[in-house]
Amino acid sequence: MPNLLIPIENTYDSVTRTVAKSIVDNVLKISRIDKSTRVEIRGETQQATQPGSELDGNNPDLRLMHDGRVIVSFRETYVDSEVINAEVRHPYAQPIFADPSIGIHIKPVYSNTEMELNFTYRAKSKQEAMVWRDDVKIRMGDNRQSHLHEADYHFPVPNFCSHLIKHIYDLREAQAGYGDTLGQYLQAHYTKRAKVLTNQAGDMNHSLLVIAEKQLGIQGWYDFDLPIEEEKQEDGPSYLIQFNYKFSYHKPVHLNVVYPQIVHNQLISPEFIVKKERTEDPLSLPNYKSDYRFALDHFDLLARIPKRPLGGMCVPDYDEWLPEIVLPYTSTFITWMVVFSQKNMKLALDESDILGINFHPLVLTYMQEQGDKMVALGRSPIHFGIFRGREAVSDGVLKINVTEAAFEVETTEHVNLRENYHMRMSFCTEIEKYTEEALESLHENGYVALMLFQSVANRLDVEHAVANYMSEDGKLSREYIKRFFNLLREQKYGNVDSPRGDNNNNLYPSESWLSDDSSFGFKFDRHYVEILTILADNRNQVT
Amino acid sequence: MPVPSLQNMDTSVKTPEVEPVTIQPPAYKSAVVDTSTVRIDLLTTYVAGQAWDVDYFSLVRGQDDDSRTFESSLHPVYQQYKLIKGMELKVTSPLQSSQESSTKDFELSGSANVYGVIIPKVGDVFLADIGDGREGLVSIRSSKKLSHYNSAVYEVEYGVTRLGDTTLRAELEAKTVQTVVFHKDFLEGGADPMLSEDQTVSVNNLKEHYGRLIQLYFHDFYSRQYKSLLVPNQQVVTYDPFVVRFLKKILTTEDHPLMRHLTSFNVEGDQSMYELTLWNCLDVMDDALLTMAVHKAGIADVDIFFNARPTLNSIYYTGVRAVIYPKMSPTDVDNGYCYRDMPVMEKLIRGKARFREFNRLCRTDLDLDPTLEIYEAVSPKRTAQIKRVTVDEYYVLSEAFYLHTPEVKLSKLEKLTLDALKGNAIDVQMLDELCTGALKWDNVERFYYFPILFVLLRVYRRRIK
Repeated sequence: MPNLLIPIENTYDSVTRTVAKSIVDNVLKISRIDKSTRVEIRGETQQATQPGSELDGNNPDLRLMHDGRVIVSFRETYVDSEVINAEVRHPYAQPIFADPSIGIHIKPVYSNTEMELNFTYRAKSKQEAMVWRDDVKIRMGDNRQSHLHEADYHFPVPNFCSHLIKHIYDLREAQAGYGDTLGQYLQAHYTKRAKVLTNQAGDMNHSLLVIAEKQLGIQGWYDFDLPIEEEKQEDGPSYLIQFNYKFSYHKPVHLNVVYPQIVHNQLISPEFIVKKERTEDPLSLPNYKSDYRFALDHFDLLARIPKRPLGGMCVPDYDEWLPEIVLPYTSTFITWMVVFSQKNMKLALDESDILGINFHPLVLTYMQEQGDKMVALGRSPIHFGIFRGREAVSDGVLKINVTEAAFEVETTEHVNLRENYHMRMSFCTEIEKYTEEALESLHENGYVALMLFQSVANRLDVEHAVANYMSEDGKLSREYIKRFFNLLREQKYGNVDSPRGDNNNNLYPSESWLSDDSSFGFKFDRHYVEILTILADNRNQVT
Repeated sequence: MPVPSLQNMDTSVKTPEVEPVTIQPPAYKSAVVDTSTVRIDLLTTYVAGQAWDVDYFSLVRGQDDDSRTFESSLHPVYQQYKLIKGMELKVTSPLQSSQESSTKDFELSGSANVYGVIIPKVGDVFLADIGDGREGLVSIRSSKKLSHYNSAVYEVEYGVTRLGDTTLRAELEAKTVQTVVFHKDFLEGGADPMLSEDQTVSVNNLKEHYGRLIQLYFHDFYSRQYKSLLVPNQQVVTYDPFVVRFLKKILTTEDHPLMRHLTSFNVEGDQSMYELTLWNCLDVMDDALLTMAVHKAGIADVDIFFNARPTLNSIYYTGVRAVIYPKMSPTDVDNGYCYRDMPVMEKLIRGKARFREFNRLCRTDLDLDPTLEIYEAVSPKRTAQIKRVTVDEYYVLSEAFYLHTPEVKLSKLEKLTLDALKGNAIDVQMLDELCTGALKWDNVERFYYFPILFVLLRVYRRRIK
């Protein structure tokens, strides 16, 4: 699921100035400054506009030197302590758009912002100035120097979100739709605070979707210790008072957009799919590093966070799906993003999907032989399972049709087109889950078994195995198979050296598959499948 | 007396007060301030500086909005402009360019005076030719009002911030919420110089119509034999003293050189020739006069001017055979004492089509063509441009015009005439349409309606809708 951060544009006009205006109005009310006094919130130009050039007709065309006036300029900074540790993809943030049935939501990301307002108050008379000063002094004495404010503002929704929602709506209605109009869909899933702004001409071609918000509990305080003294203005009756007021608020700066790659079993448009660059193995890159740096390469590789925690390979390669849980005792080889069509609501993987993977011919033949055994855990080393959304569907809903060139995977019942489905091919890692027949098939098909083993444990020395544990007719010795599974078990549970120290348990007869506890005596350092040697064009092919 | 009567205000005679002309208005010396506005728009057209025509984008802002200059990435909702096309700046110091020595960047700046019809402010921008055939985006850096009067000139300083291209035009267009066109000649006439783009097209047409119609009028109706204007297509040579009198009043030799040869025949021997007509109403633009004016008229034989009174150059001897004569009982004082008989009158004859007469016929069915809508409306939803002069006995315009009630539908010409008389706004698009169609009107209609159009083409400037 793409999980993106989209910056919000135009926040200076929509958020910063409107918040400043809300607080300024509130401060003036608290300060008992005459309501008719003209308030100017200076912007980037730092100068007043020409009288009469504003839309509001109440302002006089002529302003004089000693009229009452409040001039406010402001500066916005981030709160130091919250620059690095700000919450970004907060799970409990209120979404502005959410459609859980599809799996899309948009949440604003806030950043704690401090604002300093510089007031220049020109009082019309000594009397007005004194009232202000006395009032502030008494407030301080009464421990009411700081105040809680409410601020009204809005922020625009970037075009990306609108395009995305429109596209998802189109897909939602194109297959297994609900019959909603776009308007109904938006109304149902956008917050009720969504509004549309337009210009003075009412031109809807240039309209803007915005989210209105009211922020509560913004604490502000007079930033001085002593009430500021007024200064007499020369040649007139007015007095100047300059003071600062500070507050901090949460400014919406980004939108966190999470959306699915499949809507109603249709792939979304490529423009909304995030394709990540393939990372090369740093050890194999043709670059120069200092000798000291070379020494660290090995650890770099070990410390590298896997691109895909699930391991294995995903088809298509941009699929970002992660299941909540997989079947225990399995190791992922391949996952497919599956899209069912209305024509055939059962066919999960067709012949060309299987052939597209380019399995090694031996493996493919082996899988054809295994057939329906592959959809029940333990009846075959290879297991096919289907997932609805992020949850696994238990065994018994799949069947395999073997065809001439490969095979097909089908569900036994029709699927729900409004859900997302994934197929997973895995390897069963626990020998106790296997049937006798399945283990025998590994023994019979030695080369296939080695390819499967090497896919699970990439560093397995298969050449050694071919030389020492393989019979001439291609059978892999039972001993080797037992040891391999013990290696996997040891990997899972840690050191399982038997307290008897002989690595041979006596619980089972020696011909049993479970009689031996010995292993190769090493652990592999990568805990997930990285290289699939069961594929035909792999560089680590088995002989 | 059961009904109380108020004192009749009109009967109390007041001595008219004639104010002496003063150089300084009396309010200047007084402590009391006159609250009425001093209109000095007319004077502010004489502003120092060289004319520079620019496309001016005036920022539309509310009190709390920021006034940053043009930002291309800012959404059109947050930055809106009113475009004034062809705004004239009076440049006081032309664009000076200087190159910064370290960065090699150019700075272009200058200053100009701006007519008080707009209030320039920081945040405004304009597109202008900055020389070399290039267009530049110029931002206002400072603006200063040069006097405290309501109408004052502003001084602005500006600098070029960006070179113009199609992208810039498109961005500015997206942010434009209103477009008007600046007409300097309107400003000089004391009228609002900002017209919409549609109106500009019409107004430019109207300027052409005026000269064209006068030219055509004298070409068609000036008789070189009689040295006056004659009513066309009548059975005998017919003269309308009222039209000629009116045209001599409103037109000068600057309008047409033949004005100096236009003779007004002496018809004053007859008292009825002093009656008020529609033309007097148009002259003073007063619709109240219309009720007192003569409504009906006919054609009287010139013999009635051969009477017992000695008259110099009487029309009787000019060769004119008939005269347009008022067909309503006179109301003058002389008639009260010495009743005059109404002469025998004939009706005006419907004129011929212009093209038919001049044998330059392109189409024969012009006057019948309903699509042109020239004469009669073909459906109740459509309004005729004009009615025929001969539609009824009423002088020039129809009964519906003289006895107008709101539910009666007037022709477009009558509607505009009534609007002009009442001082209402005049629809310039409609006037433009009339003047365009006027060339195809029949002879009698052209003879009588053109003088009305001359008046409308003069007054519309102060009355644009």
